[in-house]
Amino acid sequence: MKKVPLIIDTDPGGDDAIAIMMAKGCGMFDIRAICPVNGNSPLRDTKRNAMDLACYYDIDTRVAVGANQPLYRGLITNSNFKRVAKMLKKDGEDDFQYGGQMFDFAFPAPTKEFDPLPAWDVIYEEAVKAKGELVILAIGPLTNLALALGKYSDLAPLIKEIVVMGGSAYAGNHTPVGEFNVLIDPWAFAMVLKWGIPFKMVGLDATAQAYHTLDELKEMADMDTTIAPMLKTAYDGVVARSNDPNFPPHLKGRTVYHDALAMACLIDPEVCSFRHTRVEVELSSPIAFGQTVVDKRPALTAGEPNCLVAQKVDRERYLEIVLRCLEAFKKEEK
Amino acid sequence: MSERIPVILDVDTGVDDAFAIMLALASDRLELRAVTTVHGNTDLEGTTDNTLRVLELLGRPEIPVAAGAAHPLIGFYSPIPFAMHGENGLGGAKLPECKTAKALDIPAVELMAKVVRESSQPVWLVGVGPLTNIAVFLHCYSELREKLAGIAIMGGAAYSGNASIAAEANIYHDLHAAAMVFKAGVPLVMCGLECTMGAYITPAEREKLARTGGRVGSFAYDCLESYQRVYVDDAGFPGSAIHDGVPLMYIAHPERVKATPAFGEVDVWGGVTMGATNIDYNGKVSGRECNMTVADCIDREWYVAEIIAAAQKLGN
Repeated sequence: MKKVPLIIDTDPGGDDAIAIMMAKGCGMFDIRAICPVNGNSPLRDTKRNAMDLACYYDIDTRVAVGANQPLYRGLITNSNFKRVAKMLKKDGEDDFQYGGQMFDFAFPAPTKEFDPLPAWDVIYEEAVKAKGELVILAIGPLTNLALALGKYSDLAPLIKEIVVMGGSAYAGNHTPVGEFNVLIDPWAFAMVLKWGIPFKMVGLDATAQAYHTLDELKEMADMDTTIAPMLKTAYDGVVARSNDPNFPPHLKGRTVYHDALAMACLIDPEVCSFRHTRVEVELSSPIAFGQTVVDKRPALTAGEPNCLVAQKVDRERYLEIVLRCLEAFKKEEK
Repeated sequence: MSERIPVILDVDTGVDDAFAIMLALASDRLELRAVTTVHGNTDLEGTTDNTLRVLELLGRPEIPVAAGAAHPLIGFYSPIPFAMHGENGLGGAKLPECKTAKALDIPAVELMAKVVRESSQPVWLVGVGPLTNIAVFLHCYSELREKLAGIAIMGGAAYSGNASIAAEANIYHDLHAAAMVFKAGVPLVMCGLECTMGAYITPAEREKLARTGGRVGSFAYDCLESYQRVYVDDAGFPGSAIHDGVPLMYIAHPERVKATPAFGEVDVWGGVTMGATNIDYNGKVSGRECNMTVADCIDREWYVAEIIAAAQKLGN
């Protein structure tokens, strides 16, 4: 079967690491580029992490560095947003500590070089090469894609599909209604969504259903794969967290790899149900800022549907996909 | 003569954009290195075509031109509701189709980057349309921000509007891009309505332009047909405001433009003032550090004389 050309736009991040593992492991995709962006941590970390992963998973691809800041700083001012405001500190400020490491795992030194072109140019180049077949998995803030579409006016029709981990139809995680990836750069989200490119939004309400229990994480780590050391530290991290009295109960005994579900939807569209509906991102309200407002009414009146919004996840099926992808990293098969 | 100041002009031609191109080419202090086009006074196809025709008329078809954004960053271009710029965007003036002038096959921001990179001197970026291209440039090529001498724009207003009750058209038609430009940390000169409404040409001066400016003067005269109808005949204003030439003249002759430092922000929060530029002169009220220079007024008679001289220089 012909492999599908795929670009992974990402801010790794532990859950990005699992998603990228799956992109390689499933064998269905020709990974044309990995494009790190400012997000889970500043670009200086996400770009190193992206390179580490490309090398660790032995993915022959371009790692093209993207944006080191959202399109606009200073959108988050309300006290409601303190946590995000902290994360939006300028690149290079040292007190920024969040997810800079992936699972606290020490990756081997990278053996490859970054692509000389920035992310937006590589996205465009690959879209042209793929002649309308390019699929994009976007699992960080959408800054890189927004800039690619802003720079190249003929790009939108060349992209076959965008699958995004981001947003939420109900609750948020960093504000009551705001999900992190969207909240970091909501203008970029609006800039991408508006083009009418087939767009799947895998939001928090879907990813929360795709959790891994401790036993399930252990099963992944115990497989005899080349990446077992990384998965072992991931498992140890969740165990440590589960035993830490400072952590809230809902973060104990299980974890969610949000981005991995978005990737799973590309591997097997049946893993999750979708509803075609209208999504708008709130850019003005001081309390709902960055909310992906999903039209949930039975009869739509808010305009043309522009998004497939993830609904019900088949968790067993999801876990099977993850394990199947891991098979590809088994040592015997090397 | 000292070295000329390199300038990239981002336009949505447009009646007054045509005057800006004319002033840039005629100035012995400025060197127009490239022209990029954006949606605005008419659609991108129209602004690009008008720009090329104007360059050809002015005898400079070799100036590199590249088309940029057809739409604002968020949302889509929609035609402006009244015929300020006439049907073709040039106020009624007809120009023949281009024989030699042609847009390059690269995005506008790539042409900007090329010029900035290749220049031995810092380059001025002059935006006289919506700021979509400039915002994308600043983010796609953030490493080149420090090679800019500054960004001078026609846009905004401290206390008035035209596209809405509170917002000026160039900002309003891509307020997100404008907000990004205001925040970029590059020295910014805002030539807003308070200044540019005073940069008008009277009907009598328009006649002089036609009489003495040769074929360029005739074009400029025709071009002002729609402006004069709106400004003078309908609104009773003493002349037609040539907004877009002001930022160029600020760069070439700062002594002719009175200006004040200010802290300024674009209102991106919705409501009545959506897209308005919120200006705090000298940062006096907010206590914020000034991030821009706001042009207050231009020596009008001198400005009009420059326009007439430019037409004479290029048209005779």
